[in-house]
Amino acid sequence: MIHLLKIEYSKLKNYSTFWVMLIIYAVMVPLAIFGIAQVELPPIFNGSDTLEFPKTWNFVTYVASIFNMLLGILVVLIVTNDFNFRTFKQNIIDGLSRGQVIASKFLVLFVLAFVVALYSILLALFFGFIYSEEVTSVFDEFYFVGIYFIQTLGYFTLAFLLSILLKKPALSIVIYAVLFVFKFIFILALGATASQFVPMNVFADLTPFPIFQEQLAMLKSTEREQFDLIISQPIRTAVAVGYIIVFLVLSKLILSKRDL
Amino acid sequence: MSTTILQVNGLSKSYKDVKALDNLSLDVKQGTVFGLLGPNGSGKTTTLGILLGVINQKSGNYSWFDNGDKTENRRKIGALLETPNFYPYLSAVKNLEIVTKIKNIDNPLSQIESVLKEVNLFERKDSKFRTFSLGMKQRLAIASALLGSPEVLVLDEPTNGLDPQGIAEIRELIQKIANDNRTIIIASHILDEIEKVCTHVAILKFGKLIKQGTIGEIIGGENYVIIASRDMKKLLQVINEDNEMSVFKKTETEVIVKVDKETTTKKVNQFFFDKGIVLSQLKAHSESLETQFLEIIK
Repeated sequence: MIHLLKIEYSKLKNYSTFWVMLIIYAVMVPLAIFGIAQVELPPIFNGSDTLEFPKTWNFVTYVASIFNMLLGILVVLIVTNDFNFRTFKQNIIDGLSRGQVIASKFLVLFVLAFVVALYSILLALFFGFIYSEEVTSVFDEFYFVGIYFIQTLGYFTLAFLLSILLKKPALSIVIYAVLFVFKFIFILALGATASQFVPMNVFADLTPFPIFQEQLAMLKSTEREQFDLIISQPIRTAVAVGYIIVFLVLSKLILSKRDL
Repeated sequence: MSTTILQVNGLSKSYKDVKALDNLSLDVKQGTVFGLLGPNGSGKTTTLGILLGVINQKSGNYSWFDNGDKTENRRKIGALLETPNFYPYLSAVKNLEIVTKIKNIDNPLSQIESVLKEVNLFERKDSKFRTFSLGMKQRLAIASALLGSPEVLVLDEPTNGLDPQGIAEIRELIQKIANDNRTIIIASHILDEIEKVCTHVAILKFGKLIKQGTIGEIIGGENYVIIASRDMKKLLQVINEDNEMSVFKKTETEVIVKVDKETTTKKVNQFFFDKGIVLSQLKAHSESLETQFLEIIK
């Protein structure tokens, strides 16, 4: 496993696009968090409040998740590069199996998702300590980081599957971006209940807009009934993990069947 | 009896309605330089692609080193298939480092240095792959195949894109490797290339094996002479009347005649002289593999 990661790292180490996109992500996320935190829309939304512990975990991961599109595109580039340069083919000729080729790319996605999750911890702690008037219950909603990790991995494996399927970077990026940006269309087309199970929407809903939960809690029980069909966070997480596994298995099947 | 390096049994492959490979069986022994010869689209690259694990065959099987089609076998094979495939944004050295990691090669840096010197690319070792000319890309691909001194080299059109000097260098390199009792499999449609370096040849056409044997067996069967005379009509008449020779190819000014293996040009001259024909041109046809090849695939 380490061996495969080392091979992948040799490919990425000098790939400037990779580092540039990571830097853009690393700069944009804290800027966006800071920017949105300045927004005051009383009584619904109070920007600086959302950065207090423990709410900061939800807010930071929510904002970071918006920029997952950028990282998803990076994943598409990393994967389609190997088709473009015919290096998937060459790697296999040189002595990797098709399974190893898939595994090594997945390991990269896993590590990348892990690093991104670590970064969100740093940001949440940073903003939390700055904006909290009293530092209590710091880690109460820390689980959002774990959920964010699964969400990122979900977006990544979907980008991975698209890239394996289409092989072409431009086409894969366009389809990925359309799915990412226009996921609300599934809500309109399939209705609120069914659309919750569309992969993109499952992943997106993992990190909901911060005040959504509170608003839901404030509703009268009669009004809340119409939201009863909203699947709970644990179930949604399980569905997301299911999709990740399905995407990986599909990617492996497609690559095994195909002539390179 | 030398060891079998590669055994191929009844390999077939179709692309939609086209049969790219039809029940191909081959046997490659250790230390041979095995030429896979055939016109464009005859199934050479498809064959090598299957043997190197990048194309899935429809039926049949193959075995490297008596060890089936396992992935690990490929780490003992240095291969160049179709095009040089490298990361354009990485230098020659960095690209080869990836290969040494995949193949688990010891002392990667000294290995890389030596193969780059072997193909005359050492001075450009830190240049990015995308800055290379076609010939340099091809030489890097050959260098990559040489990494780790593999037991077997598989080279698909190895002299593609090389200048005459480069072609001569690669041929020399192939000879040198063959002298080490290592096995080389070369696919090519350049007959000259095959004839100069190969010990064994298999000829493919439309995915079918037409002929297989040592280079002597393939070329050795017949002999060709090019003749001409002022009276071409009579010349052709005499040839047609004779049982031991036949017209292989004729143009307005000369005829290529297929003669017996033992027949010398002197004997040919005597023969026509006896028939009252003075030859204005008489020479042995040297490109015998090409002649053979053209006849076989007709």
